[in-house]
Amino acid sequence: MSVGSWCIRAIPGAAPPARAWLLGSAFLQVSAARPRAGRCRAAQHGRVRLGGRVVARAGAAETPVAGTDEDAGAGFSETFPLRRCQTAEGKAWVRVDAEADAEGKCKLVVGCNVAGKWVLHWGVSYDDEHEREWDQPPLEMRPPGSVPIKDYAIETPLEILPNSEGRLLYEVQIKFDKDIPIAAVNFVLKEEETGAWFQHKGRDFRIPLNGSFNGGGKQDIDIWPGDLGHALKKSEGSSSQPQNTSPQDTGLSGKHISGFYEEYPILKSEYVQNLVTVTVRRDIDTHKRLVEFDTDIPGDVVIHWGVCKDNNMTWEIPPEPHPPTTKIFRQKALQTLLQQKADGAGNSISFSLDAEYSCLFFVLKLDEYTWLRNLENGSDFCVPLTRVGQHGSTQDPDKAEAQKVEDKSSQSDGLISDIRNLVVGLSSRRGQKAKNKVLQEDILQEIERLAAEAYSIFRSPTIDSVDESVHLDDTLSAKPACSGTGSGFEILCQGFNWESHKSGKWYVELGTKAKELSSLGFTIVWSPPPTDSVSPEGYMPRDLYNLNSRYGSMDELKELVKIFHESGIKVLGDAVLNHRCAQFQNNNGVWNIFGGRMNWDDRAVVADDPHFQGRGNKSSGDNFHAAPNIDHSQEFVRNDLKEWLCWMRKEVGYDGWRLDFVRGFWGGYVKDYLEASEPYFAVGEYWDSLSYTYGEMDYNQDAHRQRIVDWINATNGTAGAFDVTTKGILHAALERSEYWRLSDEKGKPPGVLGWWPSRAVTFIENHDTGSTQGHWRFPYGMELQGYAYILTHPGTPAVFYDHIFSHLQPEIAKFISIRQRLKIHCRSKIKILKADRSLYAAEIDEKLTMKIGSEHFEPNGPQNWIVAAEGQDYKIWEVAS
Amino acid sequence: METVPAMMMTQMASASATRRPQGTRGPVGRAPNRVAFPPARHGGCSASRDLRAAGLFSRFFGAGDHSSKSHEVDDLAPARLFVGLPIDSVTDGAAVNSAAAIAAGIRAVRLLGADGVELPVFWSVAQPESSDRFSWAGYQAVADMVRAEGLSLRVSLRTHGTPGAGVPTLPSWVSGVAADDPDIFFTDRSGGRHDGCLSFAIDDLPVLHGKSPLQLYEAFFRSFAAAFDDFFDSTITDVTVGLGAHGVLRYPSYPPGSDARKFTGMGEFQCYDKYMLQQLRQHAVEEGHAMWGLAGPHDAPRYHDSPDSCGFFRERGGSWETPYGDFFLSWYAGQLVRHGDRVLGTANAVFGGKPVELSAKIPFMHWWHGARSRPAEAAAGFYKSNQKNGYSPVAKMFARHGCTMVVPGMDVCMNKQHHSTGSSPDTLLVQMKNACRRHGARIAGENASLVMTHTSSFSRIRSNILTTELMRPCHFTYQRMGAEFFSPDHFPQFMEFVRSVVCGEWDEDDEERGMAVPGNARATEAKVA
Repeated sequence: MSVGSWCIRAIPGAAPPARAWLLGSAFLQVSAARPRAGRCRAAQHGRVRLGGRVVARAGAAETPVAGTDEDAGAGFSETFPLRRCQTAEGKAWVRVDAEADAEGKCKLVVGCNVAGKWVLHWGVSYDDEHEREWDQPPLEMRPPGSVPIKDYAIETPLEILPNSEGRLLYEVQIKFDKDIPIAAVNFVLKEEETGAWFQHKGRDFRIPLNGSFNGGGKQDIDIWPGDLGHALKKSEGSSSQPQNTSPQDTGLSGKHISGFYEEYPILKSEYVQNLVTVTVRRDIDTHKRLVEFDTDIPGDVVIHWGVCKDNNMTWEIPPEPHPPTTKIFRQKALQTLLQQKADGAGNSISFSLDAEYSCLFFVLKLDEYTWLRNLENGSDFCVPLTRVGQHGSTQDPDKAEAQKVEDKSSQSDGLISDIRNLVVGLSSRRGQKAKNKVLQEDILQEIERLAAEAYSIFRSPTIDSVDESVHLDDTLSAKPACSGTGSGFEILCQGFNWESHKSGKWYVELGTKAKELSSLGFTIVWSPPPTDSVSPEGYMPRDLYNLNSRYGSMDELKELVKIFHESGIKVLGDAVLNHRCAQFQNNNGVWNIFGGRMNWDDRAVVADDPHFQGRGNKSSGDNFHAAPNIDHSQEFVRNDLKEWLCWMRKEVGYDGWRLDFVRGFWGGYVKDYLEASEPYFAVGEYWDSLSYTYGEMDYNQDAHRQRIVDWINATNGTAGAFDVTTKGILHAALERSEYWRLSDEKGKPPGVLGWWPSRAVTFIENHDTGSTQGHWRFPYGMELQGYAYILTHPGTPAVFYDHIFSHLQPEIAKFISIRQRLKIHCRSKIKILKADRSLYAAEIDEKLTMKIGSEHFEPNGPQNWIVAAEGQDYKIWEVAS
Repeated sequence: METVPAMMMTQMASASATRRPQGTRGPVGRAPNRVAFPPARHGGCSASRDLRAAGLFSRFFGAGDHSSKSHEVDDLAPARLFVGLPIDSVTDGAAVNSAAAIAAGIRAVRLLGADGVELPVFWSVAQPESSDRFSWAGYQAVADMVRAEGLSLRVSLRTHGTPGAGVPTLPSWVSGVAADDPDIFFTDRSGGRHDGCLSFAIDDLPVLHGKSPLQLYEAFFRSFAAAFDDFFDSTITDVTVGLGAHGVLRYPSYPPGSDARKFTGMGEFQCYDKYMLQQLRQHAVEEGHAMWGLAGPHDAPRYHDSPDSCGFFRERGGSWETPYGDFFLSWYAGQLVRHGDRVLGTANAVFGGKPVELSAKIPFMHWWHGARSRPAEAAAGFYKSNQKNGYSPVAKMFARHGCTMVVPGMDVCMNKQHHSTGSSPDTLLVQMKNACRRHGARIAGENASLVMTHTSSFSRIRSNILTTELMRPCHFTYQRMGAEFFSPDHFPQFMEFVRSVVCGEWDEDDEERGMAVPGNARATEAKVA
């Protein structure tokens, strides 16, 4: 057994000795502590893969038997159960026969050569896009003997085929039609006796049947990185060179199956139970003790032993002569090799000891890394040599007591206790160096993570309260001609979600809510993209002057705007300026010729988008790949867009814009458009990723908010931008109770809100991040903390439709009314009072104090604070007037 | 030497292992040349308390071996390892600064396998505004964090602040007195005052709003003991009493306003406030040399002088060797010891009944130690009269109070720095140890500064605290957490250091075999060794 092959595998769960909970629970925790990201759909149904579990009994396992053998003089015999790990190595293979057989079928063969009761647990995916989906294969694909498991998988036993060398082979064949519309077969191997799952690097095996892959071994199988330590397979050794047959292009139209062969080493391990019996007799003549060891473990067995006097539990080495085949182990213990029994069914030895010793300690050593100890208590075996009628084990009652106490104390803090259990569990199985190394790494990593966290905080001076409050607004000398920021007291409502197009008359439905929104205190509603669009949600616009969409007709839209205006609410149109879908193909069949009133050609498309063969200039921003990106550097394009925006202002009555995907083009063009269309309010969606280091969100997100601020700057401040930074930091702060993130190094809010509050449109959710898309959903159940933050803070808060019309409404309404009552606006002054692990507290305009987080907080100071709102982990106070 | 990594791992995680893997519970000897296991707590702790506090199984070892009041030097006890928390952990009494970082730091330290953390507790923070009110909430919050992690806590009660650490040196209502009576502060020859450093001469004088400093110190100690009463059985194992500026028993012989930790000059005598001068005068009269008590030495050094440039400490024929020199230096050093005696006596009255180990820090002034007159140490108040050990009177006084001597220079290497100043850390340490040994005081260690550039300092610390000598430090505190401590330049090396201390060293060969040594074989080994 090589060290390298060791991985966490078997759970000694079946009938372990009473105290083996230690091992078992520890191992379970190993698995539980490491949820794998991106589980396949099957896993969501509760299929849990753990190491296999079995205790095979190789001998008649008895609990320790103690009895006195009167005939042999005062003596007794004690039998201890032993448990050792036995491993079998072999290989599994996967083969795809692309050549159709007589019935016109292709074959997928999965096999292995390790003894066991093997089952293939498999499913198919029809769609290459969603590679984690499992579906049941069509009936004709299922080999005989298959059993459906829930609605997503099949289990097919592997058949036993004796091969030429007499070794058992296990194989299963899955036949399928060449043109079957299946993208891939997913499977894992299961060994029923041990219950072990064999995966490929911790993931399901995935064999693509789709023709887009052309031969070439490794590309044909999905290789996912990582998670080796928990894979139930041996890591890929040198023997696992893929042996690919050459790809066999069948030449069938549209699809071809490639031939494929690959082997994977597998390692099956199971526990075997053995016994060791120690018999002690007193030699009447010499008063010596005759000790006899007998075990049914085959192969070389060494006892590592010592003795003690007077029950002082201190190991000593008895004087010579030692039994034959004995070595002295570093002056501390003796190591005696047992002799093979004649029948080959085990080992035994006997030797005599002086009467002065009271106890004999021993452990069994099978090889350098395998030591067998007392299963009952995990410690060394101890055999009393002077026992008279004394039964029982070496268990110390004190220790059991101690153990209980510790049980209780160890129920606390998650990660550490996981690590601890890991440690305990592993340490009780000695000699597994590799494993210990892995573990050590885990702990070291945790320490490093903690150190990094501490470093990031210590490095930045923590300021509990900042007196001066410098706003970028003040430093900007030139106020833009048109501010696009409204009155400063705006509260925005996103008036749709990802499903709103489905009714076909959203404008009418939203119109009925105008009064309600107005009474809730909203001043601006953001309506969905109104134009003719390839996608029903409206974000793939085509003919910009056609305002009949899935949300309703142009007349209904105009009516909607009118209704809102009557309720005193301004309406933003969702303007998609970055890209536009073409109506016609060019000579190459590429869709890049536009129709309608803005009948542009391919000069309006950026040149660096490979899909759409644009003839314009290079894009001034990032590309949106699903549609032709408009080249805003072309004057005719800009003129047309300005004209369109003005038309919408006049014709529809929109008061301003929500600008989609403004990362796609230079903010300077936005300035042009806004100066031409003079919106009352405009906000751009500049959404890119926050900074992470090793998967941890960085404390300092200045780079992220700088990019957003840069964009706002490029628009010359004519538009605000969604404060993605604040949303991201709120995620981390709330989800992980790291409220210290909510104060930046200068003691200000860490998002755009902290730098340029009058241009920051704060939000916690929108149609992309939440709704039915859920690309970046706000931590569940913490929405009110999020709103308690954005609705009390400077910046212009935006509330998502789904939240307004949900159980959250009463509290949101309360927050809005507090904001309006206290006249908090987008430039309100904020003073952060506290930002630590479980508490964030801030005072706004000296009129309002709020806190979020679990920790208790009370505002103080000369003012008389009264509670204005309170709920789970948030509280808002206002100054009593 | 061998170690069992499984054991090691458990310790590293400070895991409250559910039991010791071996069956024995008897006392287990340790090889004296390494720290095999995280050590037992001092302070009369019982095994059950250990269990509750940390559950670290290895703390069974030798638990209850010695009580806090034992003045014997237990040479076998391995050093407990502490890490200092930031000096400004609490600055306003009510709140913890960078609490998240401190929590993370405590946990990291625990995972590393350290025994506890050290928390400086300032009088100026605990009683900031008036003599009526103490505010302990901030410190209690830190203690809660420590208790939650099951670590030990060593508190350093600082009656004098640390200038420049972001913590007020004295409560404002105390330092306010100085406006009327600036002589309550130490004063040098040219009249420079050490703001915030109360002269030892006023210890018993009711000059602070009708109370004497000692009475105020006692109130501070008592209030602490009351506020942290429920921590004494579980968490607080050590109380370190600050006996002077920076919590160190010494005169502030460095220039006023400078960073004492960076000053390596000779320093000046600080006996020029009117109270000190008065006592000097009185002492001179009693000694029958009234003239000697009129002022300090006329040829005393300036802060940055070299010994030979001043008449007093000149190597040959300096005034220090004259009867006057002996008269002055004995008095000066005696004042220091008496101050320490008074404050420790007060502390003992308060903490005497608590299961804690009392300790106090002395300076580690290794520069100019090569000069016969030991001028830097003499200016700070450590005088070797008649060729006796200059640390002897202090050690004797510490021993009398059962107080452990904290030596903050375990990292200082010979040949590394201060060649020109006659630095001799080795002989200095030996002297301190000899003094403690003779009088039966225990010794503990700290580092003088973060080990940033010379990793050899870590091996120096290791050899100092794992020494086989009789005077092995009973605990070592690494100072101190903060941005630099956790920086990538420092922390990885620190981690290595702690692991090597907690786990002992072993060579690769031993590691392999050692791992395989089961159970009691280790005990046997220890016995044999």
